[in-house]
Amino acid sequence: MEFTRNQESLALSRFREVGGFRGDRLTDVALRGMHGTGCRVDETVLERCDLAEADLSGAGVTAATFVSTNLRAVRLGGARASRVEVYYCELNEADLSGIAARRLRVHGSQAMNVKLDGARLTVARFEETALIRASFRAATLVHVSFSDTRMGGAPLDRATFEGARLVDCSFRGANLRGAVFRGAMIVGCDFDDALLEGADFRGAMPVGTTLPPGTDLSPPPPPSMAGEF
Amino acid sequence: MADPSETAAADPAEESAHALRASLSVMDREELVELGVQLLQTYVVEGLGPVGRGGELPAPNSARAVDSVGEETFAGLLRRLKAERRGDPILEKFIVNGEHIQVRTPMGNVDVTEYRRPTAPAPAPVGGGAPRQSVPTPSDSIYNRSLYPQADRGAAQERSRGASEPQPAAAPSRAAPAAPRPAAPPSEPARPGPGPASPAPQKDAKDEPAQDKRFRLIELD
Repeated sequence: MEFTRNQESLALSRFREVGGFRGDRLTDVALRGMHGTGCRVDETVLERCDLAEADLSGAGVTAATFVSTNLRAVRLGGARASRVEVYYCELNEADLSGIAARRLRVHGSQAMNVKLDGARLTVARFEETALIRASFRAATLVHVSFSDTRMGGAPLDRATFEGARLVDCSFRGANLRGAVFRGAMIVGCDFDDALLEGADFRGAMPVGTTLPPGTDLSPPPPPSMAGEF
Repeated sequence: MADPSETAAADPAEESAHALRASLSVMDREELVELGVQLLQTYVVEGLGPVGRGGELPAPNSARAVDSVGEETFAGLLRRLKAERRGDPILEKFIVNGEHIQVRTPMGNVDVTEYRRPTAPAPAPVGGGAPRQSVPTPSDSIYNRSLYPQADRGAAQERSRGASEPQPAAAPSRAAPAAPRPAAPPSEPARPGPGPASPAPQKDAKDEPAQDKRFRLIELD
């Protein structure tokens, strides 16, 4: 079904009836702050919609496309996503902790302060997407690339990959100033031409990965309680 | 006999396997299973190559092409779709040039991705070290020979001597302008003979500063 401007109530009725969206197309629909925990979004296109602060925790998203949609502070924790494409969306402050995503493309979007802690991303591509201060703590990234043809490399400064498992990831030319890779397992990753000033690799285990000579890989000091708060 | 540990340290493959074992041994069983599933699914079942080659186009009819989300670039996606659906009016509106994408609109072509100018200056052409024809030097300008009495004097001396000598002896003064000639516009070197006294170049020289200023302003605008 197709929903356009001012058809929010119809769209929500459909959402409740089907338990999500299936094969639908939503354009200019404002669903800010909607509650859809555990819903299903399958083969759906959302264009210029407002889903800011929506709670879609534990949702299953398959073959969905988000275009110019406001996903600011959306909650998708523990969601499962497959073949999802996100174009020119705002994902700032979004909470995607524990998401299991396979075949994900994020293009031309803003994803600053996005939380991807404990996420499992497989075959994902972040293009022209600002991921400044993004958090990938204890995430598992397999076959993930971060690129930005405009800037020469993805903006990932002050991003955190603490305790993450990075396998076959491309950070080529990325801006990783002040990024944290403490205790991360880094296998077969590409850091060529990346800006790594102030990046913290203490306790990281690089295998088949070339890091700049002199990178400090010594184990980090044990965390103190005072540092936690 | 060589010590096995020394051999392991010397062999990079063995070394990386050792490091992998060390990093995997600290993981929980569940984490290991998840990672194993992810790796097998990606590299064995789907047969993807390393991420560095993700931008490569799969064959249009291959199974990979059907499900390549996250694997190819946005430009690659458009290229593939254009190849698959030839004549599609919407796809025809996209102009893909490398990683630069434009859309045809009634108002002209609009950039979807920003065009990146090459940062390095264009390489100089072969033999680019030679001065341009517009910069008069004794070696490349036959019109300004009078400005360089030394060269003229030398030429005169050579000419006075040259009646008995073979022709190549007088060549240096002419051979030099011959070199940059191909690079110069054809109208400039086409004038035959030494014509420094012709009024046209002098007039141009007078007017040049004013014109230069005017054009410079236009260029600045």
